[in-house]
Amino acid sequence: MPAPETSRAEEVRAAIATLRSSAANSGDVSAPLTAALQKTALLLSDAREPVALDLRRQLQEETGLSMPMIEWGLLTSLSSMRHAPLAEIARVVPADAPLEVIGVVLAGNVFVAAVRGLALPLLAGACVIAKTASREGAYARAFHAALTLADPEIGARLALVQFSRADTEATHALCTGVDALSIYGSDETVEELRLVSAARRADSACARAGLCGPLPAEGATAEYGPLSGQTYATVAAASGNADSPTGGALTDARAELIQPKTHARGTAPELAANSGTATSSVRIPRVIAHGHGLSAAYVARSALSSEEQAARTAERVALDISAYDQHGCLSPHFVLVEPGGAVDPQAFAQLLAASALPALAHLLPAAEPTLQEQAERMQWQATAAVRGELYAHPTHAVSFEAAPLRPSPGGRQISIYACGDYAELEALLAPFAEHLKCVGVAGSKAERAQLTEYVQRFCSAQICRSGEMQSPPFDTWADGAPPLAGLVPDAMR
Amino acid sequence: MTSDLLATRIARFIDRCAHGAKDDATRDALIAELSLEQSQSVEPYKRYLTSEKRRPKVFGLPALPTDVFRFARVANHPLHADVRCFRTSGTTGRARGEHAFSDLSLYDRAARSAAGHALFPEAGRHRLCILAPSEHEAPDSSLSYMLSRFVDWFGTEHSVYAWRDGELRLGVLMDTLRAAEARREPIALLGTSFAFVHAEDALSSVRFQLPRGSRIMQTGGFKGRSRTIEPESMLALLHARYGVPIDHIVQEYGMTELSSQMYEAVLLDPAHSIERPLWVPGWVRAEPVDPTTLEPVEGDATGLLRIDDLANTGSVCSVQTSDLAQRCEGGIRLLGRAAGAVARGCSLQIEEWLDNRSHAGA
Repeated sequence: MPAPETSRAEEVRAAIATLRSSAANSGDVSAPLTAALQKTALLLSDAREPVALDLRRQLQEETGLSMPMIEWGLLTSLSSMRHAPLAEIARVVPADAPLEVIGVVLAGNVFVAAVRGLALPLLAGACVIAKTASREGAYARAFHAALTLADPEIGARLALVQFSRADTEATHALCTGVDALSIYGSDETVEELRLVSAARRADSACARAGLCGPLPAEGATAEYGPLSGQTYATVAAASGNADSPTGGALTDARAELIQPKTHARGTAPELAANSGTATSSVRIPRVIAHGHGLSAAYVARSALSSEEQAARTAERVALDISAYDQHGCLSPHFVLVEPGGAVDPQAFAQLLAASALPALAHLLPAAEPTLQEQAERMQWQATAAVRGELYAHPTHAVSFEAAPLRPSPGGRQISIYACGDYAELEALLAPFAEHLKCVGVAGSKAERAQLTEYVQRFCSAQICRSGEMQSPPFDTWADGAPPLAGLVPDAMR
Repeated sequence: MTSDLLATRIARFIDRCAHGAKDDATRDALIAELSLEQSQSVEPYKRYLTSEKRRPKVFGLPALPTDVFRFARVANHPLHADVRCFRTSGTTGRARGEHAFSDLSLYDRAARSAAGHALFPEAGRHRLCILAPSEHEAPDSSLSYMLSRFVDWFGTEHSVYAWRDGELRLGVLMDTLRAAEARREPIALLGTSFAFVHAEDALSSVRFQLPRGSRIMQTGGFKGRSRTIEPESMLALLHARYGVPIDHIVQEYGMTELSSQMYEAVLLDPAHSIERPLWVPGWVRAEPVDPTTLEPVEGDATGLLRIDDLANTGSVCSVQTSDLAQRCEGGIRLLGRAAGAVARGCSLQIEEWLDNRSHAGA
């Protein structure tokens, strides 16, 4: 990716400075905040509102998703943004919490993710500067517009920026100008930005070693100059992340200072604790990472006790698969089916392919696939045909295969596997445990509880009811942590 | 197994196609015959064809998508008859593609003929400096095997490997290139893109002006192995670093799943050094196809590259890649990944679980 001719770094620095000034002048905003967020949700839900109408048009252009799919996404993502859960989330924020600026880097896979990404740090009492995805900024812009309509003062606590990933100066300005950084994106993106944030620590360490200019004063982030490209390169190289576009040879003495620490992965406090001497006089941004993810579905035999019940179960599983055309991190890549019901796992695959998924394709039509997506589906389907049974249709494909599990390319392509018991479930899912975000369970409440206990032994995936994987309530936990984890200073709540 | 008679006819045809000769009608007839035979003898292909009902008119049978090589043994001979099994590079994925051979003679014949035409068109041998592991270090790498054969076929006794034990031997590289400069003896620098990036970082400010007639062949991707450099930037870097003109820097396109290689046609015609089409050997058919119909796309429209390689007698000769390509003057233009592909953000990309499709590299 070529570097942009003009960096947006100044714009980013100015926005952060404005937010800091705004934060300093505001009092307790918790009550108007929840009211403003609820009103924002209502504004965006009502397609008669100009801001909501405009949003729908732009989302269709940006995402390629069908209008029914967009409508469904808006409805499900905004319906639980109501005063009670919002207030409950905000309740954990200490009254004396310092006013912070939190940077948010939004991803571009599922448009609704922007709402939670923006609203949670606001609920944490922070001002927010968010970098929107290069190809999906409409929802963030509409959210900001609606928030400003709902309450201009609250709206002023949010700033949106957009710049190219190749704009390393702007990236640096964002990563090092904020108090915390909430990153949505690929593991690679998270790691790159984490390193840029860590580079600030490196610079302060360098200053102590006499390798660069004087340390900035406590909290004087606006005065913090851009890190040189050379240093960024050494940071990337020191981490072993040679994929970084700016990664390079480890030739700089600065790298010696940071090498042991940039390998660190973990929570913000862990990173802070590991940062050693540099932490005492420089604010180190906490990093809240939301990296790669995928999900799975599990169908207990109790959910297949009759053909009618199996049909209803298939409908719920089909909704989880079809939502956002299976491109979200909460989208199931495979369905594990317990044998022994009235409908066996292979018959369940056929049921999905022949009736449940076609019905969803009618209700929530799929986007036209790109050539690249068609290529991925062709490869996936061919392997499915060779490994097991493939039930392919123009709008979707279902395979019945034997282990090991094989991820889907998305676009409503799903594999069904027989899964005898929880031990087998663990064995099947273990290779994906690090990335597993959610397991949707078709079964009784008791079975869900049992499975929750079991799954928590090997991963932090959320367990939810089948058919609800893609519509989690606003106050849901993620990655085994409550909504404001990492966003509230001095405590990983 | 492929009948001896058919294999012999294919071998003769490959010989006939030396020096760039073409006979598309004979090629297509041989491909049809070989494909039909493999559709009955190669189990995964047979199974795929049972499920895939489309029959493109131009090709007769659909090509087998390359990912199948990761999950099934695609061979028309039993395991005990294997003399060599090449594997795709293992980076982040769990399953590596495998291509087993019971006989490498057609592979050798095809590799020698293609390189002899597009990479070493002049008579005589060249000093080779190789930035990739030798076949002894990487016995399952088709690239290492091919480069070792290049040493046998095209190299002088002074040819060297500047990549050993998994790392760049900077001293060997510098000494070899400085010696070539001093003797004004052309040299061929052959290696993986990822190894060239390592050399780029390690050489720092060192520059070379390799003698006239020197050339560079680079191949393979970067994924998960080194920082990524765009092809245009890579070309400029190599030119600046080694002093080799861009019409003597050749990208090779090879896949573990194939037995034949394609090369940028720049040495065949310097006029191609701007568009840099891939030259397709006469025994290979390379067509961008429409994924909906599996038929060739019209004109210079973009499609998914299907390759029919007559030298693939031991597996399947018709292979469907995911590479985007267009027809162009001089051959095929590779476009890489679609610019409009959906941004998946935090959703796990399937590529994360699948390995590079190109040669198992350094």
